[in-house]
Amino acid sequence: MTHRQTLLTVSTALMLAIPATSAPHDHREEKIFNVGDSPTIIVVNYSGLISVEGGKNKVVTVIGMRRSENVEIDTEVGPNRVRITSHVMDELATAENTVVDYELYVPERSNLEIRSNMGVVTVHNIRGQVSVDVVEAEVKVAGVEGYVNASSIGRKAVQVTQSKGTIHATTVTGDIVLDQLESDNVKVNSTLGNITYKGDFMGGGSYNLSSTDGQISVICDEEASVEWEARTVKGSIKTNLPIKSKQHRRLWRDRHSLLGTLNEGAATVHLSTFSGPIQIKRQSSEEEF
Amino acid sequence: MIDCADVKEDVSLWMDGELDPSRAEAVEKHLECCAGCAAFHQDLKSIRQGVEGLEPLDPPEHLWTHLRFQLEAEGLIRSKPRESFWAALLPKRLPDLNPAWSGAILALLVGIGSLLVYDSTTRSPVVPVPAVSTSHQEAVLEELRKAEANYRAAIEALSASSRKKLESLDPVLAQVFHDNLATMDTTLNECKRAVESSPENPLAHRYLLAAYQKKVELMHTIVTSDSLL
Repeated sequence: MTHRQTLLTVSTALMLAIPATSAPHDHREEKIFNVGDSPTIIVVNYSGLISVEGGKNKVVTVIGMRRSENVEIDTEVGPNRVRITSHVMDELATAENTVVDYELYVPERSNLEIRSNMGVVTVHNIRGQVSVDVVEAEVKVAGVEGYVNASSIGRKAVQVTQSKGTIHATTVTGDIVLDQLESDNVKVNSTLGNITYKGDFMGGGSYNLSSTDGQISVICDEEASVEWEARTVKGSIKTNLPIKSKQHRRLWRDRHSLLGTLNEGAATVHLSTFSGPIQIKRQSSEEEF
Repeated sequence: MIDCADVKEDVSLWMDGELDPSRAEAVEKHLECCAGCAAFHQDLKSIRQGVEGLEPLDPPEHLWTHLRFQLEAEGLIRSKPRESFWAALLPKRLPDLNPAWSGAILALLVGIGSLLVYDSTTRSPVVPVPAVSTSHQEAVLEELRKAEANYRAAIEALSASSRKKLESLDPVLAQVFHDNLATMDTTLNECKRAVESSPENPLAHRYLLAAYQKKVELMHTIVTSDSLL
């Protein structure tokens, strides 16, 4: 099928412009694109909610709610690729006049690339790769099996839960929350944000959490099998887990580094801060540090 | 039939003429009909042309440093000042590039350079002789100072463009960037103080360089914020 034919097929599948009723300037657009098993979906938004849900069907359904007449939704379709872009007509318009809220239903094997300045991004049930790049937007990723790469500059948190692939996340101010992961490769860092890891570690896995001024909290079961390496320049390191200390070369002062093993030490966990405290806590522990 | 992910993997080999003919043909056809991959190919081409235009570099300093430490430790040579790797690193043609390219290349060079230096100088010397340890630590601090100087040059190169860009951005967005730049400066100052008070602490060095790197990356994001959308 040629590119032109693909476009023709897609355009016939297009369903357009059902006027909205919620607010005077709201305009609802719904578009459906036939795609292959693992398409690449790119969403570029200035401001608003982006919600992506993976499913079994080989179609991409885009429901866009424009909150202003100052913004249009552009779609480009190529072979197994859909790009959705919010096009702001008056670039001097304020953020509230550029809002588009998106709901996307995509094949679960899709690869996603999402960029947004402001709003909220949620991704659920995707087996392909997910890349999210935001300035000031909350990011919630759940149930992803592929590689996750999330980057945020603002104060809103990045949250990754119940995901399996390699996970990379970077924030400047926002917190990073990692909950119930089944990933064997996690690398996250933040400048000011706190980092929280809750759950178990995979045998042979590598976990690297680093924050300059934020706090790192790891909450795991006493049965976890982990080789720990925690280091801080000015912060503190505390744990209530029975970690067996290892003979190690002092990096700085004793209280600023902890090298030890919990059970067999099957996973490797590196924790590092400049001034933030590091806490390694037993799950379901009420004990205060 | 190949998809975008395949093409992005193969396009570099295709440019080098290292793909087999049938695969090369598939890549060519894909590039003709996929605007995204065509743009990716163009970017790659521009980067290669940019890199080809840079002046040749000396072998990385860390190789010399390692070699020198070992030869010194074995008493075969005495230390002699060498011309700075960093001084030779930044090409003089950078001011001719547009701000975005300058920033990108500076950040790239500085980042890679710092990593190379730290991978070498913070590792223990192969032959642990006390006299070498002292000179090793001095070498580490010297490299740190050079890396800082180059990060500062990168920040200086990006500051005018980023200031101008911030004036044209949405006020909410501009405020986020302003706040983050202030955060970076605070972090940088904290890290500098930590290095001053504990110059022997390699983790403090790493955080100082990471803070510089993050500031350069943030400024570069601001300058190129049009490309975000």
